[in-house]
Amino acid sequence: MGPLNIEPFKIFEEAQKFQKKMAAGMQVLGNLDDVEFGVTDKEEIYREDKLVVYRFRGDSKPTAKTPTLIVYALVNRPYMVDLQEDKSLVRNLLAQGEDVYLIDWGYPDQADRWLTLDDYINGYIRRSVDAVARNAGVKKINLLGICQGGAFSLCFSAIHPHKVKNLITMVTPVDFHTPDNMLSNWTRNMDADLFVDTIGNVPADLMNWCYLMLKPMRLLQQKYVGMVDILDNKLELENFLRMEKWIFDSPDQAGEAFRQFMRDFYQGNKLVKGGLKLGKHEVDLKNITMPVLNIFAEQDHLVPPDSSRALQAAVGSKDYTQIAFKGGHIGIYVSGRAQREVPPAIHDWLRARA
Amino acid sequence: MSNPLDVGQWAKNWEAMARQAQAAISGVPGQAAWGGAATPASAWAANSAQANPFSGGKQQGEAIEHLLAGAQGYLGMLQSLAAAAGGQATPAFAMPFSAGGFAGAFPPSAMNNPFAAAMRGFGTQGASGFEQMMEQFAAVAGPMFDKAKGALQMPAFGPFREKQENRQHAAQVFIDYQEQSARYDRLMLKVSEKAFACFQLKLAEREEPGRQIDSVRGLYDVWIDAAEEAYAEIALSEEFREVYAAVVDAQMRVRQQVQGEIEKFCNQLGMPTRSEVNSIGERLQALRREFRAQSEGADDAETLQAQMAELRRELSALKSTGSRPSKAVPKTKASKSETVRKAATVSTAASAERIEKTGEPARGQISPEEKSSTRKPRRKVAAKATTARREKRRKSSSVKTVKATVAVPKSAKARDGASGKSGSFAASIARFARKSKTATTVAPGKRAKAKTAKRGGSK
Repeated sequence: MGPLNIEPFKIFEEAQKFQKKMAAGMQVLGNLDDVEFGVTDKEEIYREDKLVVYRFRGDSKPTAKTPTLIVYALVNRPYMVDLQEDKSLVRNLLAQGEDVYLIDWGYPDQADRWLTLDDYINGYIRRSVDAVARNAGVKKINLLGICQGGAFSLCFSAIHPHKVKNLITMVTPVDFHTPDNMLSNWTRNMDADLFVDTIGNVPADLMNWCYLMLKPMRLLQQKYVGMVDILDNKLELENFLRMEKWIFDSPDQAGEAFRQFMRDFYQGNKLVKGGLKLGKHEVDLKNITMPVLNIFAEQDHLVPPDSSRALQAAVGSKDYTQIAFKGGHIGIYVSGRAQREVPPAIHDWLRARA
Repeated sequence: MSNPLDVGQWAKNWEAMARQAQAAISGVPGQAAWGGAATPASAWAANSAQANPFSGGKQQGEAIEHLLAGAQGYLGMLQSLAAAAGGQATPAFAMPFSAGGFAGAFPPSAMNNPFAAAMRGFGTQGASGFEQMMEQFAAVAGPMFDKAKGALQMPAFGPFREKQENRQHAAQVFIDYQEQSARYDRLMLKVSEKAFACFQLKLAEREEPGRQIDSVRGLYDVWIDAAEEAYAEIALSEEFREVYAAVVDAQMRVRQQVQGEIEKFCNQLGMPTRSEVNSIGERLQALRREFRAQSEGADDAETLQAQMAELRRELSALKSTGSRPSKAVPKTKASKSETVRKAATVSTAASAERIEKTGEPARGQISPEEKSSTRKPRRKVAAKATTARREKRRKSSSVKTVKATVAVPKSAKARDGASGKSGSFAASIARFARKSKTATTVAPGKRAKAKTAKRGGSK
C-alpha cells in the first residue's frame, strides 16, 4: 500500500476545477472595487511631524474613565486593529465601553532618517501620552502596545511609570534570544552599523521580503494556491486582498531607530538583560510596577510565545496577567476567535483595575 | 483502494525536474526551465488572458501572473501527476499544457523553490535593483578581476595611487560578495535536499490505510510542510546565522563601494550627494532635539513658577489669617508647601554647615577692609582661571562656592605675609608676583618674548 490513493479521474477533476476557478476569478477580480480599511470613525487630537494621534468614536459614549492608547509597531500600518467591520479590535473595545486612542506613525522618509528610539519613545510617545491625558482630563492613561509597539510601551512605562495606569502588551517580544526566534538568529551576527550606514532608511519592501522568507513556501506559494479556492467568492476575495494590502503597505524604517533596535534589542537583548539606554534614561523593566496584561499568540512565527512569556519575570509589577491566544501573529487581530475572545478579555481586565 | 501511480518513480522524476528548475533559477547555464516563455507564470498568464473572454486579453495579466507565480509549485505537481497517470496517451485536460504558450510551462518548475532566489530577492526588494547594479558594476570591474585577482593585495603607489587602491578595494568587495553568495546558495541547496528527504519520510508515514493522500492538493500540502520543516531547521542554525550575516555584510560593502563611486562622480559634476544630505539631516535633527528640550524646559519652568506663585498666595493667606492650614486645603498642596519649607530649612542649614567647614564668615560680619581683601583675591583667581574652570564653575554653583572660599584664606595669607615681612622669602615672592603681573599686561605680540625673558631672569 503506497501513500497515494489518487484516482486518475480525480486528478483531472482537480485540474478542471482549478481552471474553472481561474476563469471565474477573472470576472470577479475585474469587478472588484478598491478595498477599504480603517472602518471606525475617528478624530485627530494631536499631530507632530508625520505622527497623528486619533481618538476613535463608538456608537455610544465610552464608559471607561481612563483612556487607552494603542501604540502600534513601526514596521506595519496600524489599521490592522481596525481592518474591517467584523474584524476590528478597536470597534469591539469601543463596544465594551473603552475610550480608545491610537498613534499613527505615518510613513517615515529621508527627513526622518536620524530619528532615534529616544526620539520615538521619550519624544513622540511621551507627547502623545500627554496629549491623550490632556484630552481626557486625566493624569494617567492605559497603554496598549502591539508587537514592536509593545516593546516601546515597556520602555516608556519603565521610564515614565507615573504616566501609565495599566499596561497591556500584545504579541510583544521581550526576550529576543529564545532559540525559536528566526529573525533574531538572522540578525544576530549582522553588522548593524554597516547595514544602516549603507542603506539609510530601511526600505519597506526589504523588510517585507525578510518576513516572507520566514516561511517562504507557505507565504510565497501555498497562500496563493489557497487564493484560487476563493477566487469566485467576492466577499472572501475582498478580505484576502485587504489583508494583502495591509501586509505589503509597510512604511520604511527610520535608519537610526532601526540601528538601535537591531543592536540593542535583537543583538544585545538588553530589554531583559539590562543596559538599555534611551537618551539619558536607563530602561529597567523592574520599574514597571503598574498592572500588566500580556497577551501573546501560541502559533506566532514572528514573535515566539516564549519571547513574550519572559515578561513575567522581567517586570516589577505584582499584578501580572498573561493570556495565551490560540492563533498566530495576525490572527490575534483578525480571526473570528480573536473578535470573540480578545476585546472582552482586555475590557474585563481593565474594568477590574479602573 | 488502488494505487494507480508508481509513487517512488514519480517522486524521483519529480525531484529531478525540480532540481533542473532550481539550477535554472540559480543561474547555472543550460536550457531554460520553462522553454521559450520568460517565466512559467508569464506563459500561463499569457495563455489564460487569451482564453479568458472577460479579460480583454490583458486586463488581469499582472494579477494572474502574481497569482500563478505563487501557485506554480502546485500546478507543476498537478501536471506531472496527470502525465504519470495518463501514461503515453495525453489526457484531454492536459492538452492545453502542451500547446501554445503552455509548452513546457510547468513541469520543470514544479518545485519553483524560493529558497534559491532568496538572497537575490533580498537584494532587489526595495533596494533599487541591486542585481542590475551588480551587473553594471561587474561590467566595469569584471575585466580587472580576470587579469589581476592575485594582485589585489599589492600595495599601490605613484600619482594614481588612490585610484588604484580604490579599484583594488572595489574588486575585493565584489569577489567577497560572490564568494559569500556562493556559500549561501550551497546552504539553500542543502535545504532542498533536506526538504526532499523530509518529504519522503512524510509520504512513508501516509502509507497506512486511512491516512493515504487522495488529492494532488493534499500531496502538495505535505510537500509544503516538508519544505518548511527542512528550511526552518537550517534557518535557525548557527551556520545559517553566520552565512546570512556574511552575505548581507558583503552585499552592503559592495553597495557602499558603488555609492562611493557615484558620490565622486556627483562631486565632479557639482551635484549634491547623499552624504551631504545626510549630514544636513543629522544636524537638523540634533538642532530640533535641542530646541525641543529647551522649549520643554521652559514649559517646566513656567509650571514651577505657577506652582511657586500658588504657594506664595497660600502662604500670604495663612499669614493674614494667622491660622494653621484649614482642612479644606487639598492634601497635596499642603504637602507641597511643607516640602518647600523643609527644602528651605535644609538649604539654610547646609549653608551654615558649609560656612563652618570652610571658615568663611557670614557676609554681614566682615569689616570693610576684610571685604575688600576678600574681593581682590577672588578677582585674581578669576583672572587666572582657565576657560574650562570657568565653565565648570558655571555648571556647578556649589563647586563655585567651595572654590571661592578656599581661595580667600590662601590669598589673604599671602597678602598678610607680603606686607608684614618685606625682607623675607615671602616678600620676594610677592615682588615676583607683581613683576609677573606687569609681564602679563604686555601687548600680545610681545608676550612670548617677555615670558622668555622672565624665564631667563628666574634662572
